[in-house]
Amino acid sequence: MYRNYLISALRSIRQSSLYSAISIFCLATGITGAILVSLYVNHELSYDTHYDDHQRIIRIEGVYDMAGASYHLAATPFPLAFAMMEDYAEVENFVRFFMREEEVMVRSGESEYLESGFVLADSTVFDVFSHSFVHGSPEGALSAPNTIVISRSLAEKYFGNEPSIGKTLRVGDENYSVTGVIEDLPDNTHFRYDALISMSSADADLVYSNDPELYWNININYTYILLHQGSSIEEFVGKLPGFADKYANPMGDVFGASATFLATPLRETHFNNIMMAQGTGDRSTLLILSLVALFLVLIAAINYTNLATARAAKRSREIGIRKVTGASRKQLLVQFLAESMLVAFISLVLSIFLAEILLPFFNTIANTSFSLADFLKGTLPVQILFITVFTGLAAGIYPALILSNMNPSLIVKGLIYRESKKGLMRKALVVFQFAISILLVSGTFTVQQQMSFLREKPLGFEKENRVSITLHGSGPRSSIETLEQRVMQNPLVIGTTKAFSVPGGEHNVNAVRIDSDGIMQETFIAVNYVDLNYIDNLGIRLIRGRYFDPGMRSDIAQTAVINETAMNKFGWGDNIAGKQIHMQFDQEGNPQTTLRVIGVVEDFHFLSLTNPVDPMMLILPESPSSFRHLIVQYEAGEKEQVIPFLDSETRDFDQSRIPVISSLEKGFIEEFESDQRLGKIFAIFSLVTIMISFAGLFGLSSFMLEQRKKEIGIRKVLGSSAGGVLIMLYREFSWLILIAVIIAAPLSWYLMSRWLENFTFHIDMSLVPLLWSAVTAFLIAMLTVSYHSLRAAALNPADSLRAE
Amino acid sequence: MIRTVELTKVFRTEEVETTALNKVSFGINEGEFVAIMGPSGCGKSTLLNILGLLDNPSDGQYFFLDHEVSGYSEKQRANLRKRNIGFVFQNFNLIDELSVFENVELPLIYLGYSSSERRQRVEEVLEQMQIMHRKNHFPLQLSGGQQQRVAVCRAVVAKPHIILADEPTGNLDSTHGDEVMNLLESLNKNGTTIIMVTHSQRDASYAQRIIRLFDGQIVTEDKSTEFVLTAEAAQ
Repeated sequence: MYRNYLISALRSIRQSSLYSAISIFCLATGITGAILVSLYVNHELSYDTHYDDHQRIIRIEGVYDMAGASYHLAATPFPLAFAMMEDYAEVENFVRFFMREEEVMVRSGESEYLESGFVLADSTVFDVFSHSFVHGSPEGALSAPNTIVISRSLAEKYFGNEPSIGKTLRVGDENYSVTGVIEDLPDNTHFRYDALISMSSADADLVYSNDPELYWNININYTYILLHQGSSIEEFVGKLPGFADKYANPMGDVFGASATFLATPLRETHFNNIMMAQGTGDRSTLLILSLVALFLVLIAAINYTNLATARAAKRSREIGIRKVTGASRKQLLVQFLAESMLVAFISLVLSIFLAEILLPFFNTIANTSFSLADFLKGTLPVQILFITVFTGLAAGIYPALILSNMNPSLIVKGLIYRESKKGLMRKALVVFQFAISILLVSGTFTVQQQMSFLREKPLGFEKENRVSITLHGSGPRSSIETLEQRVMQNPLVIGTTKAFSVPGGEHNVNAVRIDSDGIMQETFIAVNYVDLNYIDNLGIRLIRGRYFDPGMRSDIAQTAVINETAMNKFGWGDNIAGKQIHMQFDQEGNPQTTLRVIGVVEDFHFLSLTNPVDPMMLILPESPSSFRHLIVQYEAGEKEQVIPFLDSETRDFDQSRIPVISSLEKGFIEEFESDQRLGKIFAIFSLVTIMISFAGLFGLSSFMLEQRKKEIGIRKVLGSSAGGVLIMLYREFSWLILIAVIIAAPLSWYLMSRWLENFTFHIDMSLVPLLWSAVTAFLIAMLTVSYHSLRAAALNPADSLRAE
Repeated sequence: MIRTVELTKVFRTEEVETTALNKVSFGINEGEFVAIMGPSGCGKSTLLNILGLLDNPSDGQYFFLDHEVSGYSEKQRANLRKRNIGFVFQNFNLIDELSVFENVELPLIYLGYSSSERRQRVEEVLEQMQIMHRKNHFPLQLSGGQQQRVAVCRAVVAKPHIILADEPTGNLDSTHGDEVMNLLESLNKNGTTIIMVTHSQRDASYAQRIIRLFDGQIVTEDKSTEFVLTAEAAQ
């Protein structure tokens, strides 16, 4: 019996090849989208599960409340891990990670490399996180100072085929002996590193582990705890409030801050998007993508449904005959479902080819590195099967119900099946397709608008034609002026300025005490150490008082220029005369430094656009070693000449490192990379959705007009012109689009305003994206329908009537 | 074998009510060959649909093999139909996508025959109807007469008690028409009951009895040959 179903299904596919091709291509596209999204979602959900003990590992985080604001940090104080080990029986082991610098200079023999992902770790790292060793063994690998374990790729890069163990690498200014080579960490690891340096190497230059009491308030290292088998994470977290009170809060009380420690299970750290967190992902992106993939499959399934029910008239004879020869409704239901399943599986085969072709492209926009082999990993094959069966069912169930329910007595006399004249269900499905398309298109428009808004938003300072040279180490920093003078020699360089932080980069935030309306208040303020040219060079406007005066020695380290937000938040109104900022408190809470406020600058975005403009102050430091960046302004259009010049000067200036020269826009662009990616994926999916919808509409309009040949013929006989018929047909399809717009509009409005709320700075919601998408949908629909409508309207009525 | 009591069928649209059959009562015995005649729109096809268990009457009773089936569900009718009735249509109604063999095989599939049994039965019938050489062809590759012969094969392959033929020669020339009528006649001689709707006096002459319908009612019921002869003589 199934052979017979298969035969008639295959032949029916072959017979109406154009419509079958449309159905199969659309379903294949839908399935491809769903497969790629599943691949991505699986990958995102599998973060850190490759560690043997991942279910027992937690990351400790701190929440710091101060001056009404709350800061949730992934980093913790240095002594925390020891204290936890001591205080809680549940703790089996711990490891701390610490990065001295984001980028380090590594030398192996004669070659030098600029590397990131060099991390200091306790020797317990291999007891907590399982690593597989290519060479060497985890035991004692990181016990001694100046030992290093590197990844397989680094080993191959540095030493080729030679054995790595015992070799020396120079990292920054120190030598390290290679004691192990581990496999590269897989992509789905939230905390990724290429090399682990023994924490004991830092003992000499870091006081953290020696003087724990002092450092309960500095959060720069990551702490991971391995709990004993059978310990409950929830119970452990429940005990943490007392822990903070015992260790961290006595110090915090001095300046009105309080800490709470939290723990996140390893598997969830990837989605815990908090400050200083590494390798974060976004659950809502996964949800959005899954929804979009579902829509894609549904829209493709609707095409099949519509084309299959439209073909019902053609197939009614076959159905009648089958019924007359004894087929039950159930048997026919099975036959038609088998047919849609067959189509779905043919589409699956095609979609695997499509997925393979699209994979490199997908990897680029999603920032992943999937290969075809990943399709066979984990439960993905089962998921793909499920997607296919779901698609087949979704596509086939309605036609199967309709077709199997036909009354055979109509067919016996050659009367063919006619659907109810209104064809409501099919119209409803078309409206659904349009509504989804409009939703996605308007979403795409909104995302693009927001992205260009962020790109073009005035930042309050001049970022064009400026780069920043980052200097590492106290030596180069203290002689930054030498580099400045050398750079200024070049006639293409217009000006320079030096600063601790650059706009868009990280800023130190200090706890300070200020006098607000006669009451002393604790609050936070960002601090930047800058030179005398800073605001001139960056085009930042001074709106009150004055900037630092080179003639006044008392300006150095004793005065501050604040921003507008600080002035307003501190409740100083317009008057800054005599205002002071106290900072750097001792154990008794007495300030060690007091700054006089001498001026106010207009707000500029010193942090990236994910943050609002917070209070900030500029300080003229005593020593140039407080500067880490030299910002160089050059003649417009001369970047190509200037960068190589700066590169060679900097290389000359600090021969221990590869120069880091970056544009001033860097921090503002990187911040929104994931949103940009989401925007691209959105754009592609909406394009594909539109294509599928309109391919379906193309097929459908041909059937609808085929059925209306007689009506059109009669209308023409009665005097309607071809144009009149065309307008009538356009009007009918326009209604469908209008209804779709009405359905999509509120949904799109709601979703897009929710999405925009994620941004500190965002565009205002407007009807423009919706109108654009409606117009786009309308035009493409009219164009699609025109092909068949024009032919139908131009038919000689004599022919079309004879055809009946 | 078949008995109807005041069988009535009314078609309703939103505004119009049409009575296609009006209290039709008759009986057909096993082994009979009956022709139903009448002008277009007299209710012939409606009657055939009900007799063939493709449709239910609006009123009245229909006894099929001693079962009162007028209230049967589609599923019950389908079950009874596939075991007992074979159909032959004016327009052959073969499935274009299936080969001759596969078309004839269809009723056996729905009856749940095994594949080897099906092969044996289908080949037997094709052989008997002398169309075996065409078994791998598709309907559109055959002449009208050949197509109708395939349709007859399909109607008889499951050895039904009754064959319902709706204008079986309507689309055929006289030579092929006679061929099909001879086939039906020989089936009848072997014990199959045949009910045939026709416009053709010539075809009706093969029947043992004619039921004449007009406006949904039986106007005469008679032995075919005698009736035809007297009718012609009367003219």
